[in-house]
Amino acid sequence: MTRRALVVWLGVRLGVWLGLTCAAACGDNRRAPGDDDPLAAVSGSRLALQRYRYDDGTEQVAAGEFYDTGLHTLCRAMQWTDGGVRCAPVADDAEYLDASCTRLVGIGRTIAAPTLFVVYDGAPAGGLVAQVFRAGAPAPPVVQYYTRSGGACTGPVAVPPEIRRFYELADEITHGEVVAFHDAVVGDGRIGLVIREGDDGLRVPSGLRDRELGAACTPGRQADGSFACEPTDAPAAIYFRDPVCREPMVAVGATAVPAIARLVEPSGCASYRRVGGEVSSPVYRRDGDACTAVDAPAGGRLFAVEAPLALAALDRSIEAVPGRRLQHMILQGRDGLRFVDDRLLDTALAAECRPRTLRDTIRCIPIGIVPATPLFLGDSCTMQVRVAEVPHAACEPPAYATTSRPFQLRTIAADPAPSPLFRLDGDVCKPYTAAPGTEVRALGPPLDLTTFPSGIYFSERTP
Amino acid sequence: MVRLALVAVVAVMAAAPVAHADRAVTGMVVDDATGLPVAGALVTVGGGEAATDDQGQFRIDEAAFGRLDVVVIADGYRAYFGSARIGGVLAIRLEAATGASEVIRISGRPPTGAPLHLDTAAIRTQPGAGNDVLRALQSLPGVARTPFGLGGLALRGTAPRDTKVYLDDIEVPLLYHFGGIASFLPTGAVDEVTLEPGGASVRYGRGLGGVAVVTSRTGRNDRWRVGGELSLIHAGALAEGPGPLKGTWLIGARRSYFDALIRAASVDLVLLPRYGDAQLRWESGDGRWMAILFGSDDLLTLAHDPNQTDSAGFNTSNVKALRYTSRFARLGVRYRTVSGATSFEAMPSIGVDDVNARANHMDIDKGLHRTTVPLSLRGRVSTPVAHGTLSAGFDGGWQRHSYDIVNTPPPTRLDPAPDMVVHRSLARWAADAGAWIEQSWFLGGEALELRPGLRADHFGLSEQWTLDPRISLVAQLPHHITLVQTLGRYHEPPLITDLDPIFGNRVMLGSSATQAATTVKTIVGDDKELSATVYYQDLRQLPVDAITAATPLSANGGEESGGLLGISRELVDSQFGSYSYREAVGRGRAYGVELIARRNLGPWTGWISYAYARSYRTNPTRDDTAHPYVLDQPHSLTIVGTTELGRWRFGGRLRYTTGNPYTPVAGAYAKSSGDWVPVDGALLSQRLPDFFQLDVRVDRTWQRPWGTTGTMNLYLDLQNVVNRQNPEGVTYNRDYTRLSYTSGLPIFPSIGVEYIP
Repeated sequence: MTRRALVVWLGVRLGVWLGLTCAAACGDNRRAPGDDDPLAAVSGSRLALQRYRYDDGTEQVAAGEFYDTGLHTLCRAMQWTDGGVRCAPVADDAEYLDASCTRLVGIGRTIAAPTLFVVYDGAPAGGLVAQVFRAGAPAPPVVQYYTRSGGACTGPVAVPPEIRRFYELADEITHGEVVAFHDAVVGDGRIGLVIREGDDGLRVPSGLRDRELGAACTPGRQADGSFACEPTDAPAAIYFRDPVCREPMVAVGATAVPAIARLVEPSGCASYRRVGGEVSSPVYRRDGDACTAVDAPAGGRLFAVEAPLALAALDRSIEAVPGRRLQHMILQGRDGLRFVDDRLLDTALAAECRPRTLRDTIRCIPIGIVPATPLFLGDSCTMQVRVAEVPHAACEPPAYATTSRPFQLRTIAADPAPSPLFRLDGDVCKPYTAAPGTEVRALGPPLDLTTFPSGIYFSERTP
Repeated sequence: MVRLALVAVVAVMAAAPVAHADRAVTGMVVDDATGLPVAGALVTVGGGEAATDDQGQFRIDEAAFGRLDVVVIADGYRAYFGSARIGGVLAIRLEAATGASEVIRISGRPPTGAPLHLDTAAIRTQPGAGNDVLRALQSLPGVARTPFGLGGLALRGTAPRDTKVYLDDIEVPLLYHFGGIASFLPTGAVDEVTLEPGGASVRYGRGLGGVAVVTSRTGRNDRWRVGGELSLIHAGALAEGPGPLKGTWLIGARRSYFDALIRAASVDLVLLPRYGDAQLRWESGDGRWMAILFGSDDLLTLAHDPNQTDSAGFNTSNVKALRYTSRFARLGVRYRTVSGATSFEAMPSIGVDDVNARANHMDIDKGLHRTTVPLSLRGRVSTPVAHGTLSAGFDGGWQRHSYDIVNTPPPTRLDPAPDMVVHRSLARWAADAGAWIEQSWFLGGEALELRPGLRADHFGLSEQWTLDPRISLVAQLPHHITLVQTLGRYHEPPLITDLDPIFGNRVMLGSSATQAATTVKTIVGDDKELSATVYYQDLRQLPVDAITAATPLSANGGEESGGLLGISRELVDSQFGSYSYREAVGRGRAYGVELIARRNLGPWTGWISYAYARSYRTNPTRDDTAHPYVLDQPHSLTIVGTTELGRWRFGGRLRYTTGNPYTPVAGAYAKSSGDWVPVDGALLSQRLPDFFQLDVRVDRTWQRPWGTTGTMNLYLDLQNVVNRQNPEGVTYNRDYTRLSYTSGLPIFPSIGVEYIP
């Protein structure tokens, strides 16, 4: 064998080996799907996303809360008194000690070792964040405090006796020390995805917007089982201007008149209607199948509502990640915009669920839970029975009911509860009559909470 | 990096060959009684053989580098066993046999030797190794770098526990004092260390990884000599001289003393390590008998005043006492003989291992005491069969294990969150029996060696029979190129440390591996060795954590957390165990390329080695995805060079490796107590920054100091001379928002003086 032939032979032999080695190595360092997805949630340099992670590995982003790695606290997007939206620490409040609202004290309501206190301004439209302070040394007890609301100092307000920890305030956290947010709407079609962006680079989908209706919206089930984007913050139209309850009206207490009102149809599903002109007429209200005259709401203005609006339809599909009990639900607008629903599908229970904390544990609990009603079987009101009062018609009928003392989750039976039922009115045992449009159902035995998948709620850390 | 390695290889190849270019071993064989030459004696040196001429002289050319076994057989004489190296001039004295025997040429040659070898001189002068036997091996390709220079030989993507280390033919249970401060025996007692990172023959079993064989040194028998070593951390003495049966003694002892220095400093709450080892070796003049006794003793205590409640700002009131001892001893006797064409060798040995760790924490005594008494026998016989050489052997023994633990048990399926201190113990016998057979054929005028073998084992702890077929093919190609191909199965029993009595009388299966490797090697210019190896390993039934109380990150030291803690657990696995409930269901694969260019002779000696190595693990109890092994280091480059300038020797070692993987914190949440709990990211998906270290070493030698015949050597070994802050682990602040690295050793001097008599 010549040297050249030998080199070639060895080269081929080593080449085969190296080829096998390379083949075995292929697939490393692949980029994870979604790395470049502009709609995916990402933490910023300062704010970390909050996520749920269930035991089966399913993860969910919590869009409303973040962890400020600079201030080492949870924070939420809130409007501040200067009009900006910033991440305000989840902290106890600081209130004023004097009637002129000049001296502040931190009130230790919920946090054992507070590091920050937030001063709110109870503006007419709701609380705005005015200032944030670092916690100082413990302060003498306080029995009352004052609050500022729209520039006015109001009070005093009595401090509940169970609150015993008060703190002086140290340095103020300036606006520049917290992360400011701005929202952007992406998507070219009727439905836009609202992306909340932080100055630090944080990005998180925070909702949907129906551009045609000019309103924020959220996915909802329709009477025919399909999904559509239903306007949020639409007040319910519960009054009617005719004695047969066919012409709905919406009562508005605030100065701002809403553009869209929500009306629960006899099917149990809601329709959305544009708010029309202000009306003045007798007021009626549905009472089960009846339509009865009622007093007009005190201090409220009444507006007519128009014909149902055509909502933006959404297609829903279920992810199928192997080995996972919980699956994400993907919604897609007709223009192709895809986004992840904030509900999960619990495939074991065939129920849609959202995270809730039960006995210090995060669990994905089915939506549409109603409170159980404690009633009695005999007219002596000695034999208690827990039942659930559910509407005759509901777009998403509740399947579970909760009880308190002890806290329990029970399934709602398909059968009606035994009758007659009684309720205690003070010390008097009275016959119980279900509210119009509802029926009383029996409840199953208490469910073991481990029936529902557990998880953790954590703040993301970027390696 | 690959380019840098190639450039370095070319540089070594371009170096001028040494002037003599002679790889010969020569010598003379004489009658011990008369001193007359013995003509016609058959002398085998490594793979070569020659007959003595009328003057009793022989010469064997083109000998391999490293330690070579020498066997001399002559009619009417007892066989002689010894060793030699290139350039050696042997004076062999044969003793007359009581009965005449016939000299028959043993068919074929001994199996090809291990490619990676370090003799005493190479160990002594290797920069960065601190004069240490086994740490010197870590500069060879295929050996993963361990943090802080800790011990442990993780070879070709396997775990440190998978590597078997033998001193002569006795398996060593604990390679290092305190996991890496120093090897279990001094360099002066060693003749050579060879490393076979994979493809070991059926002669070696019960290990998935490679084999390191330390060969003890035969003492000189002309007169008594005493030498020693004095360094910053320990002092040792070594004596050698004549013994019975014209044999030799080699006696060594060593003890560290920095515990005394720390004690003198009167510092509270400091761990005081103290170690010692001793060796006693006798070998008969003809090399047929050898007896060796060696042992190691480690003691770690806590210097702490129980009345002190604060030390350096830390609350120490909960720590009352800590004491840890780890000892082992082995006694073995080797006998070897040749009868006709049949050779026989046997090494029975007995020993004891004792690990005892006690601590008082928060007024609760906790501890672990494990004692193992092993009785073992390794023996082999070789004889010509079927136009080749048939070798067969036994490799087994019995161990008595006793275990006593007082501590909070690890989480199990029955109790996933134990919080009570439980006392448990066990005592059991386990027999490991291994038998092997291997046939070696030389074909085509010895151009091709085919060596199939079969090994059968019974593992006492796992009550399991295993069968390991292995084959190797060695082809001598033109232009002095040797091609070695190996393919084989390997099995390893479970560790006794995995059988915590709290788990009940469980049987845990051993692990298995399939190894395949191809090596091309050659000798260039009679002074340089070149070798390239491609390998693949498939690992099955690996022990993996099946139950953890929490995530790998919050389970402190979990292997899957990676970084410093994960690796540390791997290093002490066989000594302490993982302290977790493991099941043998893990899988792994490792593959890579190893290149080494080495110059053994001449004004400059050293080597350049580069390895591309990948190693993955899958823990099916978690999921089916493969993640990197904690010691997965894709790229590693080592350049070692030393040169002699008069009485001075200068050397340097440059090491570069990819950073070790670790599991990142993907998130964290606060418990109601306010403590933060980390949430794992993808297992071992992040890497520490790359490791780079430059070591330099200066030796000054005085020949015949004070008129003696010995050599005095003063050395200064400076590790990490540029004081690079190499990250070795990660730590976090309270809410895991800030990551910081744990840096490795800063610039670290090792100064010592050694007298070699």
